[in-house]
Amino acid sequence: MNFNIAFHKKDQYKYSAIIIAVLLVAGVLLQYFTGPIAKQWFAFPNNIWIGVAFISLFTTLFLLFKQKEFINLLSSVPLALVSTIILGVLTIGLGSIHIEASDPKANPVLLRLGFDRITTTWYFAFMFFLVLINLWLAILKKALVFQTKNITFLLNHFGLWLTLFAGVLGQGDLTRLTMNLKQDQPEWRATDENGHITELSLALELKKFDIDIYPNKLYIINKEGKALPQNKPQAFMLEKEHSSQHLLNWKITLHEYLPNAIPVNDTTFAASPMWGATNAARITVEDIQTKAKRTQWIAAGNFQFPPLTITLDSNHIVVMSPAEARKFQSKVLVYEKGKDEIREETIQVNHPITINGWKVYQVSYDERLGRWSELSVVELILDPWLPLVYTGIFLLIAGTAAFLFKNRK
Amino acid sequence: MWQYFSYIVFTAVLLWLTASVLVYNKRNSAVRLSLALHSIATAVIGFFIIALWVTLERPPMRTLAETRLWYSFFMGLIGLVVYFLYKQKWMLNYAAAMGIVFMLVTFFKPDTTNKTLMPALQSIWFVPHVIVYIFAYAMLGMATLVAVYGIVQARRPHQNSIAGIRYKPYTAAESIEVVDRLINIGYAFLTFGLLFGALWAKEAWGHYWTWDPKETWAFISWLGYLTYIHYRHKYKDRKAITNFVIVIIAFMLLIVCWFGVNYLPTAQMSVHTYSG
Repeated sequence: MNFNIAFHKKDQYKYSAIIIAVLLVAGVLLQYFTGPIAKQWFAFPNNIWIGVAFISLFTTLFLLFKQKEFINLLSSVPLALVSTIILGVLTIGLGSIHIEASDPKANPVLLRLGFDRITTTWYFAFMFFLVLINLWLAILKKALVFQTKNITFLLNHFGLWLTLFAGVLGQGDLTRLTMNLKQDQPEWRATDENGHITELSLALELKKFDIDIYPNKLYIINKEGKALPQNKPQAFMLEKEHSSQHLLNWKITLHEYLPNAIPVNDTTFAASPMWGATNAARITVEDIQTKAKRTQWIAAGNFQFPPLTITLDSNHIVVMSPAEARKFQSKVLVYEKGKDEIREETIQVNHPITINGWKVYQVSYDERLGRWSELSVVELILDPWLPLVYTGIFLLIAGTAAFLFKNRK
Repeated sequence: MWQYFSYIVFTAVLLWLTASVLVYNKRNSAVRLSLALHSIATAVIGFFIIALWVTLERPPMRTLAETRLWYSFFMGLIGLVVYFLYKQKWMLNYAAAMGIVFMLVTFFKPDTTNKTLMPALQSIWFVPHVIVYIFAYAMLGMATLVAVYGIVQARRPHQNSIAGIRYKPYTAAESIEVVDRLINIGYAFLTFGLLFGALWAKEAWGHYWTWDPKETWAFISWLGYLTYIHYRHKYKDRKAITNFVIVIIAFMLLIVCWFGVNYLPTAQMSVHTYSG
């Protein structure tokens, strides 16, 4: 029997479906009996070997058998379509099912099948692997007979392939550590997600933790403490002195706003840079109907000072809400082993710093103390495969732009 | 500066509406005038942004109302670019309509000028990430409407009026052509959104991909449109109906990604829910 004749092109869907069904069944069985795929299997140097093996194996197979139907099938659009749909279905499962291993009521069979972490399951990995093979062979098919009109195709498919390939292999080398920085104490130790403590060849010393705040807002609340009107609370942001705003039946005018204030007596506040200061403002509240006015201090309060509010009547109280963080940042000194130089850096949300390949992120602080926190929590991340992933992403962006341009015709 | 905002809204809306009508005039000079008016409307918003920036002494990117100004501005700009690329007049209308919607939302809900942005959202990636998604959704939404039309028209090929208003029906081939164009543009912008999101996530959360529910659903809807593009590429000559069906399914997935995610059991672990 001539295999190639039996393997008619029309059957590409049938064979794609068979391949995928076999992979899924094998994946489910492996998952059930051997458990999930561990990230550590991809740790250096394994990921290098897996990568090299993948590329050399499939490139050789392609070069040797590019006339054969099975290579044609593995690089075909029908396989791409079927595998995209199945990968999509698995991802829908990932995006909709929420069960937790720690929940005693969770179905043990579903847990065993890895429904709580689908991306680490064998069946998901097999589908991902098939997509990578499909992409790689399709790239080779187009690249070996190079034509200018194929540039868009190659940018898109190679960009996607590289992003997925480097992304999955790089997982094994991705290190995420948390470090708690206390004021003026150099810290060399960091904790991983399993609670293991490691000593690093770099240290950070917190010199100053800062929170920039937005100006506080005033609300009118009822005696249950609900901001009014209940369905859509109105706020007056104390951004500009001498401005005023109507809240319900009152007109409120801001005279003076103190971002750092301490009480002088029960009813008065004064500006002070003291540790633990709160926010206060002097305002006039005017009843719109009766024109009755009164001018008083109001304060947000914090862990150190109680808030100061203004009672309007039995069910209306003006309060100042606690300040919201606009940005928070840690000024740190950076030490590296074997280096005499000490660097000064600022770590901010959305602005991580880079030290010797590590990226350091501002994560958290002591929320009870708020802006007076003397603790800053930072995260250190090492991802040596990132340049490859980024190369993939930028190729894909270029390919998409080319696709957009080509769509014009 | 916000006290002048109503003038800006009236000017921009008026210019955009005039431009949208003028662009269909047969004379070339009218079309050119329309493009000029559309550009001026966009520029007026641009100047308002600069003026805000100068008077506030900070980039106006802090509140939701401020970010909506950027959306309007970029909608106008993208409308122009897409028009010059594709010469489809209604695309200009569509961009103008989106720009107007964002201006009016800010105009009628001025209280939201008080909504502040949390630190993680304060990034140069915020506006590009959102803009490309809004534009992608707009294109894909339009494509879905045309696909639904295509299916209805295929059932009743001789219908040429709705409620007594006569129109020249698209043939199936014309419908699929329009759908195809729109999907390709929408897909490209969806890809940009996804990738910009990944680059931003690396700066803000430390990793470019964490299977956050919103990310997961963005990936699913992206796969949906990828399926369409490959199917269409493979079967250029087949009947259009299957294409239309894929477009509609893909859009349903996109809807889940857009706001359905918040109602799924997985939502509680998302970094994309900014309630309060």
